[in-house]
Amino acid sequence: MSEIMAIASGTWRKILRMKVVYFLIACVYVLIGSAYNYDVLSLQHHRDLMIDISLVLNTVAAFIVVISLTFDIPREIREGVASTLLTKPLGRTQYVIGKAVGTIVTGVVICGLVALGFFVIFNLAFGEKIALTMIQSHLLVILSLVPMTAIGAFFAVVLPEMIAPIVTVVAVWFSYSTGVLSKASILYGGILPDLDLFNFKSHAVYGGAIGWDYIGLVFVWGLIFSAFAISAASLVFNYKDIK
Amino acid sequence: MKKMVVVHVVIMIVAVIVGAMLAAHLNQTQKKLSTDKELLSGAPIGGMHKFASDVDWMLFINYLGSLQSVNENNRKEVADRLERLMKLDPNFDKVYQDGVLSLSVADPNKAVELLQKACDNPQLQSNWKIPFYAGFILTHHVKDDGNLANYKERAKRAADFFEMAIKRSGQTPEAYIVNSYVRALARAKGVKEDSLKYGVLEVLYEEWDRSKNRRKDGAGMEDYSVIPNLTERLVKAAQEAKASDDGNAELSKLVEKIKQKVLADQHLCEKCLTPYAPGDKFCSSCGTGVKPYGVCSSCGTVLKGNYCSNCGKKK
Repeated sequence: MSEIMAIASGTWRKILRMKVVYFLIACVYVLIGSAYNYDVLSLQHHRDLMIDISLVLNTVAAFIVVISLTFDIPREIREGVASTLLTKPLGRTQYVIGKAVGTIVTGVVICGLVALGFFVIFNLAFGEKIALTMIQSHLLVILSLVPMTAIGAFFAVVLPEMIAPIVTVVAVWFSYSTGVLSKASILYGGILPDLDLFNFKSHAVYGGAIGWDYIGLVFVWGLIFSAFAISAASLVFNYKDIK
Repeated sequence: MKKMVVVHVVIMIVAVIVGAMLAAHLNQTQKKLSTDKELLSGAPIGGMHKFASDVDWMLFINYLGSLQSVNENNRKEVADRLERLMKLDPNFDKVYQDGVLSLSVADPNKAVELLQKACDNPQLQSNWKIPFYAGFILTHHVKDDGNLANYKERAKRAADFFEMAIKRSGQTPEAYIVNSYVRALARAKGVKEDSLKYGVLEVLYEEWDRSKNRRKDGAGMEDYSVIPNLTERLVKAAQEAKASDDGNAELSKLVEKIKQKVLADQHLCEKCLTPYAPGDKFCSSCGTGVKPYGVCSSCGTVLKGNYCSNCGKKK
C-alpha cells in the first residue's frame, strides 16, 4: 500500500506543483463568469448557460487530467524512469495502480477547485443559493474521473506514447456518447465503459432529485470497472518488455 | 507468475459480471430519473447535449436576426433548426415559448406539431404557456378553409390545449386562458364568430348544468369543472348578453332559462341582471324598479337581525 501511495503522491505532486495548472483554472473561472454577459445574445438564458459551461469545462478538465496520464506512463517507460522505479521492491501492478490513484487525486483537486469557483461565481452573479442538484452534478463529473483514469491507464500501458492519448480521447468520448448501447448489457457497462451513467448535466439546470444511493452505486460501478481495466492493464504490463 | 495471471483474470471476470449487472440496474434508475433521455438526439456529442443546445440556441437567435421575417422561403430551415434544438434539449422551454412562436404565422400547423411534442414531454408538465400557445395558434393563425367540419375539429383541438393550460395553471388560471377555452368550446359546437356571444353563454350554461348534476355533498361546483368561478362567469355573460340585446330570440330564451335555473335564488334586476342590496327599490345600474327584500313588513326599514331596529317588530 505504501508503495502505491508513494507512486501516487509523486504523480499528484508533480502536476499540482505546476503553476500553469492554476493559471488554467483561473482561465476556466473567466470563461464561466463570461457566460453572465450572454444575457442578450441568449434571450435571458445566461443563467442556464453558466451552469452548462461550468459542467462542460469541469468535464474537459477531468478529461485533460486523464490525458496527462496517457502521456506520463509511456514517457516514463521510454525514458527509463519506470524501469528504475521497478528495480525497487515494487510490482508493476502497484505502479499502474499508483499512477491511476495519483491521477484521480489530481483530478479531484482540479475539478473540485473548478466546481467551488463556479459556485462562488454563480452566487455572486445571480444571488441564488446553490441547488443540491448542481452540487450533485459536479460531484458526478468528479467521480467519473475514476473509470476515465482506468481507461487512460489501460491504453497508456498497452499502446505507444503517440497513440495512447488519441485512443483514450476516442474511448472516453465514445463511452459518453453511446447510451443506446446500454441494452447490450454484458458488453456495455461490463467490458465497455458506460460513462453516460455520470451524465446529469441537464439536472443541474432543471432540478429534479438525484438520489444519493444512485451516486453511491455509480461510484461503486466506477471502482468495479476500474478494477477490470487496471487488472487488464497490469496483466499486459507484466508481459511487456521495458528498458 | 501463473498465480498472478490467475488472480488478474479472476478479478477481470468478476468485475465484468458485477459491473454489467450494476450498470444494467443503474441504466434503469437513470431512465427513471431522466425521463428525457429517450427523447435526446443519438448524435455522438459526448453527453454534452445540454451545452450543444445552448450554442445552437444562440445560433438560432442569430439566424432569426438575419431574416427579414419568417416566410415561405425560410420556414423549413427555421422548423429544422427548432427540431434539432428540441432533440438536443427536449426540456428547453424557451425553444417553445420564443422559438416556435416565430414560426406561428408562416407555418402554424408545424408550430402546433412542435408544441404538441412539448405538451407530451413529462418534464414540461407544469408549463401552461406551451399548451396555451398551441391553442392560440390553432385559433388565430391556422387559416379557415370554409369547411365546417375542419373548423369544429380545429376548435376542439384548441379547446383541448386550453383545457390543458387551465389544468396546469393550478388554482388561479389567467382569465384570458379561461375565456379562450370557453370560446374554443363554442366554436367546436360550430358557432361562428358573429354569434360567439350566444355560443359562450350556451357553453357556460351547459358546463354549469353538468357541474350541478355532478355536485355531491354540497361541494362547490367549481370543483367539478375546469372553469373557475363558473357561476360568476355565467352571470356576467348573461348580463352582457342582456345589455346588448340585439333581438336574438334564441339568446333571450337562453338568458331567461339561466335566470330561472341559475339565478332563481338571487336578487337580480329583471332588466340588466345586476344584483341589488336589501332595501333597494331601484337598480343601481339601470334605474329599473326592483322588488325590495330584507325589509321590515311594518315600517320598511332594512332588517339587521331578527327584530326591526326601527319599530321592534319581529322578522
